[in-house]
Amino acid sequence: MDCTVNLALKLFLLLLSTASFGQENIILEAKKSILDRESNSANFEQIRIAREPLVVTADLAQVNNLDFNQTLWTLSGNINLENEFGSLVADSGQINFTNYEFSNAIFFGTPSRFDLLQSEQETFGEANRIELNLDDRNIRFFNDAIIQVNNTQFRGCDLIFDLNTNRVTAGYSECGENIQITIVVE
Amino acid sequence: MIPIVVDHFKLDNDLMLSGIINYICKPQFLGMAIILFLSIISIFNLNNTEIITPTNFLNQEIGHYLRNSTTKVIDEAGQLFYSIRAESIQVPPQGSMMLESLTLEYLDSHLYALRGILNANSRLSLSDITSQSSNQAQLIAENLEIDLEDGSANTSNQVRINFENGYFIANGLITNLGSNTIELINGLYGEFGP
Repeated sequence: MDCTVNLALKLFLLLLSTASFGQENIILEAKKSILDRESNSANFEQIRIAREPLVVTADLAQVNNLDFNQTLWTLSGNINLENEFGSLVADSGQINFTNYEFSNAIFFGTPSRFDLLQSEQETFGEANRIELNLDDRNIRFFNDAIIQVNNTQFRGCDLIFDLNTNRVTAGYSECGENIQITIVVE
Repeated sequence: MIPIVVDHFKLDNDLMLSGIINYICKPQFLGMAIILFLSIISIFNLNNTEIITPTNFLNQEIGHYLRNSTTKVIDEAGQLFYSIRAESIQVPPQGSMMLESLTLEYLDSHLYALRGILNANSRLSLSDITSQSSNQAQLIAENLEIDLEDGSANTSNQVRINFENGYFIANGLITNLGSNTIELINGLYGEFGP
């Protein structure tokens, strides 16, 4: 009986370790790819990059090397990103992995849009340039930037959404535009 | 016409030697027989490098086997184009050469395959392939069709590329052995982890 329990426990632990190993891995899927075996750089078509909870898809991708300790991905065409904070659409962008973790990204579009997952309020941001910085836990919107939180709309050239406090602040004012706040009263 | 240089080959002598020993039972003849046999073999080995072309190599009237042979193909300037080293080569009177446990060295590409078939038109079909370069990602493929004249290679079967930290699997590959790039097609999937 003890032997059976021990065996079951070991099997359970093995399954658990296998499952956790799978979660740590970065999964790449693509329609096709051209690899350079010397430099380990690569180009992809119709790529999907998954590293829980991050999932990114794009028409085209280029990576400088496949060593995810420090790697830079350049994406273009129909970019969609989903992570624990929300979802983003953009035309082009770059994402960084450091120590196999998604660390930061920059996206371009006319505009790019990030819909934030907020439990009680509808929140999204649009801008020509959006920067995700998970180290500082903020999303920064540049150039024709709009952040809308429920009935309140912020406009400016540099807006920052703090992911810790869910607050909007203004960034640098070097662009010369004052921040505009519009509240729609229903 | 690209000349082929057969660097060296060995005949399978064991069967022949045992036949001679059984025939000559007397010990005093045995030494003489061995010396005679080795003399014949040495004559063979004196001519172990010959320049032949793929066409006349494959159209010989009598089929034969080669063991542990290296076939080197040189270009018109005398530079090594590629070489095929194989543990066993079966050359039928006509048709394709059958190779076993072979290593293809094509410029910087080194491929090892369990089996290969070489046609007269320089098309080489390899099965159960692994690449052998230490400083590059490792290629593993079920089969590969190679045009030895231009180095192009492709397969529509499953291939795997191993990296230090992960791998790719795809159901097709297009490459050129003279380049470092590999195009993986059809259902590319990869995993990378620390």
